[in-house]
Amino acid sequence: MPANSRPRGRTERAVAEPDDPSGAPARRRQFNPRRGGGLLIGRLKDHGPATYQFRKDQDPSYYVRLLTSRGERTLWGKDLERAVKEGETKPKPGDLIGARRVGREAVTVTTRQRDAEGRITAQEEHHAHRTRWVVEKVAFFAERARLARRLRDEQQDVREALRERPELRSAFLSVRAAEQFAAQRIRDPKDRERFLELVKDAMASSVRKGEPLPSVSMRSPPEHQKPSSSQQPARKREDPTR
Amino acid sequence: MTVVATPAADQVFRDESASEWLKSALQGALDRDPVDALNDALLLASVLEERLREELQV
Repeated sequence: MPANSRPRGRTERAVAEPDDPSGAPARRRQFNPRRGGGLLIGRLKDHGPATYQFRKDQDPSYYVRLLTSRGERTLWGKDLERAVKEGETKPKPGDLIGARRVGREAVTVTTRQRDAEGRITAQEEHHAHRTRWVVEKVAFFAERARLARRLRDEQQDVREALRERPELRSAFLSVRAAEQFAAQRIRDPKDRERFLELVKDAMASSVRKGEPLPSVSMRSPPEHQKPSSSQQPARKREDPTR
Repeated sequence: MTVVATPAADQVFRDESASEWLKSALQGALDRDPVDALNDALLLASVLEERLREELQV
């Protein structure tokens, strides 16, 4: 069934809702995603739950209204509530903030039809996507930009950096793991260098955008797997088995 | 829900947390033609936002 011909009347949402509950064709962004990597900057005016686009016939959503240098902007999306309330800086009205879409997650929407007695008469599931947001004070993004520069700077004292910003540990570990992987698996020095550049760029980009950093742990190979000088080298796949 | 209202000019002058730069700029702007002053202020805001975006590397 086309999304925009969804039956009206007594329906209920059992599971997560997509950002635009009307199912209407996605509107173009209110800000140009090519500018600033989609980071909308402005002063937070207010935020809260409301029906989508403040229209009574729409489903519950959440809005964030900000005053930008180009006028007032209102963002809509259920994940905005989590982003504002559970963010690191927990911005308040009056703060200069940045809001950025960082991804989409698949959700299942269940639409139920009920009769006059409230009994379920029909049920339908369909898949949709919900946008994930980061909403933080601008100072957060500035700090992340500094951290990203630091991550890119190989001359930095890693210990000192980690003492100041322990949350960067996973990023440094990821780069370290990539260096070990490259040293062991990539023979061509140029390929190795290119690989490490890609990893560092990706990590720096995640740090800069304020995205959650991966959890990485370094692990030494178990003792019994380490080759000793007295042992024969492990047989390679292409070695004859006889 | 808290809604932030735009303060009037005299509130800005009384606000101890407002910067001297802002008060000085506002005082200068109030002496000018309001349309020209607002145009310049919007341009100034855009320029400063671009500068911030460069700092943020976004």
